[in-house]
Amino acid sequence: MADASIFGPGTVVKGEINGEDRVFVRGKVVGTIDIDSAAVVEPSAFVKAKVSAKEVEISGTVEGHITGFSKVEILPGGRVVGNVKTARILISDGAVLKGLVDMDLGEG
Amino acid sequence: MAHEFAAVIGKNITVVGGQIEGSDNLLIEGVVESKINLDAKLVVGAHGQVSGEIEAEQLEVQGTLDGNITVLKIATLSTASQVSGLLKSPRIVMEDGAVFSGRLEMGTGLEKGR
Repeated sequence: MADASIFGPGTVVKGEINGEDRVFVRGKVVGTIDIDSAAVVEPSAFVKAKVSAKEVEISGTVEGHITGFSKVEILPGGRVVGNVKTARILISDGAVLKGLVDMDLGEG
Repeated sequence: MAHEFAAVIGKNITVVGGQIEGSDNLLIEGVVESKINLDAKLVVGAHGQVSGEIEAEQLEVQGTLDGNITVLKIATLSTASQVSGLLKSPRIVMEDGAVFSGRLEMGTGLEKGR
């Protein structure tokens, strides 16, 4: 947890975010997020990016394709426009997803 | 358990072709390959295998469902459910363990945001 990265509500990132440790997005990211642990898109966040991470948790807005190697969770208030590829998916009441869902990853 | 359903298609019943319509809650535990148009809640039970063009006010899936699915209020895909095709519903709840393959369209006004 101490190694986590946090992009605050006033932060705008255009480009790539790569890394191993947890990333919490509260601001705006346009580009690519590719990390080995969890990517957390918080309620204030707007992400227009391709997101891939071991776990992706969304309670903000994501426009782009999402790959969650072990899990994707869309919480109430989460809004996703894009395709989701994952082994496990959880969608809460109050979440919105528009796109294709591909769950073949976990069957290998 | 079945008492909340006015209509039940049991485990050993197969319905192929045609159309099922009505305004009573329907529980399907058998095999159904038909068009379903329901002004009530459709439940595909743990043994149910349903495919076709489906429209219902509410949907709950515990078994297997495949097709073009339109839900007017809320769709719940329970643990161990397997759903494929196109699922349109203003609200969708997908529990951990549910397997979905296909396209989800939920909420309203999404196109405007693009």
